Amino acid sequence: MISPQQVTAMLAQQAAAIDIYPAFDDNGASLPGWQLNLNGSLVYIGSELGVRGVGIYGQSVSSLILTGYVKSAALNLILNDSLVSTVLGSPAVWTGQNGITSLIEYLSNEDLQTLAQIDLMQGAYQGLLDAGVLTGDQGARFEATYVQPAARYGVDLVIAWIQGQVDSGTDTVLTTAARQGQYAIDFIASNATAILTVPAVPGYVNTAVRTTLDQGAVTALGEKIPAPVFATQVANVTIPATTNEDGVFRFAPGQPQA
Amino acid sequence: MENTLRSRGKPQNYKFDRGGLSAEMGPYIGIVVNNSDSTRSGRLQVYIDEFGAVDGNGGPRLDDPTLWRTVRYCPPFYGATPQISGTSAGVGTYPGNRNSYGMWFTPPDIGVKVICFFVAGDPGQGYYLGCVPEPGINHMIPAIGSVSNFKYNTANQGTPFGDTRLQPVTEINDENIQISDNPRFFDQSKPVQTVVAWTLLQQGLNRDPIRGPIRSSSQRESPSSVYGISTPGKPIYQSGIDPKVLKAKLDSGAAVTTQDVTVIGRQGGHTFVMDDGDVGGTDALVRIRTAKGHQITMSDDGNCFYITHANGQTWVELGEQGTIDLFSTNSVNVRTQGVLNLHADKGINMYSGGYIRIKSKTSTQIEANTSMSLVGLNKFTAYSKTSLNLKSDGRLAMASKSGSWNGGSSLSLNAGVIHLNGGSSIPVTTPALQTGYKLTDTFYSAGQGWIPRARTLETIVTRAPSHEPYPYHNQGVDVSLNLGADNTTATTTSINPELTKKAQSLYTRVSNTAMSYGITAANYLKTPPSSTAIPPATDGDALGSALSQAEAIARGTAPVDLATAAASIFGNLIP
Repeated sequence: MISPQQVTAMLAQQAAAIDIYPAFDDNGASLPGWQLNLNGSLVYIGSELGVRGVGIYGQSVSSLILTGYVKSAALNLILNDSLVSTVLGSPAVWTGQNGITSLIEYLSNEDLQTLAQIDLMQGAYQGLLDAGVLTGDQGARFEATYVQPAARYGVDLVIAWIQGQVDSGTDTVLTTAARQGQYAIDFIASNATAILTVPAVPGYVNTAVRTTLDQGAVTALGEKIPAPVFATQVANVTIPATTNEDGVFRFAPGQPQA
Repeated sequence: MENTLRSRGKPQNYKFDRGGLSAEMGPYIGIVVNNSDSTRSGRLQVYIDEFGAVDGNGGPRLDDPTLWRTVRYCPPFYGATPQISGTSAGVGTYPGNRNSYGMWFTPPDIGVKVICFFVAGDPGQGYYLGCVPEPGINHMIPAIGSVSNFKYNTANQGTPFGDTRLQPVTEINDENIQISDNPRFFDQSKPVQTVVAWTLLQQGLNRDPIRGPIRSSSQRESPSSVYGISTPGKPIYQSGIDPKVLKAKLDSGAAVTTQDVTVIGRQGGHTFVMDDGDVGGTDALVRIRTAKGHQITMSDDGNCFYITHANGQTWVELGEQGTIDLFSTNSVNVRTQGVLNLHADKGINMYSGGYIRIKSKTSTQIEANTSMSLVGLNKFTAYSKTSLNLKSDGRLAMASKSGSWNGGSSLSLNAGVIHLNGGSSIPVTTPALQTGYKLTDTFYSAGQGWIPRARTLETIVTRAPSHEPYPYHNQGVDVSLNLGADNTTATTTSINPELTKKAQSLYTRVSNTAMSYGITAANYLKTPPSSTAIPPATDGDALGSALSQAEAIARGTAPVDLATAAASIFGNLIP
């Protein structure tokens, strides 16, 4: 069993492994292929998309098909990696799942990318379980060793790797991903205290993150109808300055009680 | 009498019985052509056929303002106190200024027909009394009734609703004569009113005919048993402009297009329904519901009193079996400046997914008339700064695998006989641990909406409300007792021992590989948190299990008391 925190660490590790490509040149100008998404953040959609992968987790076209965002027919159009950006750039290949109808919309929604990546990890786990690589009782570090590369490169390739049926280049790639999976588990074990420290006094607002639900609203409501907003409305109450009366129990209105 | 009244300053040319012009007395049916009133008193401008003209196509010239008549609002009830004299300067006083009261149900949309009349035939004294419903266009009154014969507006619009069988719908397609001329037009398929449908879905009530989609509609049966009122609701503009953007435009004086202010639909308004129920008694209820979806339902049919927030994150129900169920995805907070009394005749169960803290400023006393067990599976510490006393009027027995007793400056053992490494020891039994249950919890699935799943909420309590749809509404606590301990365990039998062995070997090799691009705490905290374990705690829903409370706080996005149970209900929706 890989805990939610360990899953998050694996996600973070996957993102860190992808986040190695510079977006700016030495003069601070954005490099070719980088474009602002709908949130104003730079995302890569250039000709190396097939190599770098899509989004913060570097998802492949096959992964996007597996998670339901891209039509399976897209694979027929991608004869080589250089065509990935062109094909995914066409709205026609997107299924519209969760309201995502284009590459830039998908790249603008980190929550959906994360959910998709978790889906891939779940699928990888199940695939490895079905194949007999995992048994369900080997511990998170062992499981992450294989789930991490399988989520990115596929279960079949990982099984071939375990059976020693891949070339050295693939072995290096998979070993790196597997080691990163282990590191994510180690990270939680060694940093739990630092990360998960509970502050002495809680203070909180706006605790509900409704991304998925509100995304559904966009699908359901139809155009021209704005989605309902549940923003925090804070009462405009000013806390009075400290006075000499503080600490004296009194009944309002009237004078402080002795 | 009539002539006497008419003689009071009325122009001669309006006195039709004295040779004047035809008096415009009415009543007439007017078509609302303008409902924006600069005096904000509910006045309308209407087009009345009798005083109108036709265009080249023989249709009414609705767009010719010279043919419009202005009529004032005449509600069934209105009143106001008199202005107290002597306050002509300044803003006045309270009391002193006039206080008004009454009913206010206006204006209707452009195109609605109203009954108008002109007092004494004076065109300057036109009033409208009421509105004329269009034949067959009253399904959404007084609430937006739900039907099973509905149709989604687009192919994928129904995706989030899964197998929802009852949906709130709009009126029929009035332009399709196959529908509008059908003697049973009210049974014909109608498009889903998605605003209300979506609200019900996010509340988890879309499959609950008691608390969610009700059939209450003026067209449900005849004679109708449904009474109530509704407001029009927020407009949907032709241009699709967001009302906030429109307001900003209007406030700033920016250009507003005709499409920006042309109302093509309504999002559904506040509703108040008093339904005596259909012939079989179904939907007998009183329901107050806001446009956004906050609602109070008092259901005679469902035997419940139910209150819910529009976002579905909190609800309360007074149930048929004497239950009070309360659910919150955040914190439940109670404070009194006096004494908080909790009394249960039978028992009290408390379970925390995290910690339990109890502290009093003065004394704390916990007492049991029969037995008491305090268990700390890993550690149990009893401490006092000054004095720690253990007393038994009977036997005092201690047992451990090993131990020591540091008496500090002195230690006295007093007994008639002291046996050291001798005599018989009194057995100390390990107390039985509490029975745990796995109750049903509710999860959100993008393709099914909120759905309950059995054995997903670990607890020791015997009833724990969940996000809707809560499957145990109107059932007593005994009904939901003990769904049974979880008897599902992960298989540990490998189906491919050879592969497992190779994987174990490879695992060791990977462990000895150098690490690259290892994450930091900053990487971790900026990553959207996973709310699910792998494999998920539930049967596959990606929005399954809990995010650590402590982690949520470390991210600065969640409350300290957002317990594991609540987080598991919402999955990734609550960090």
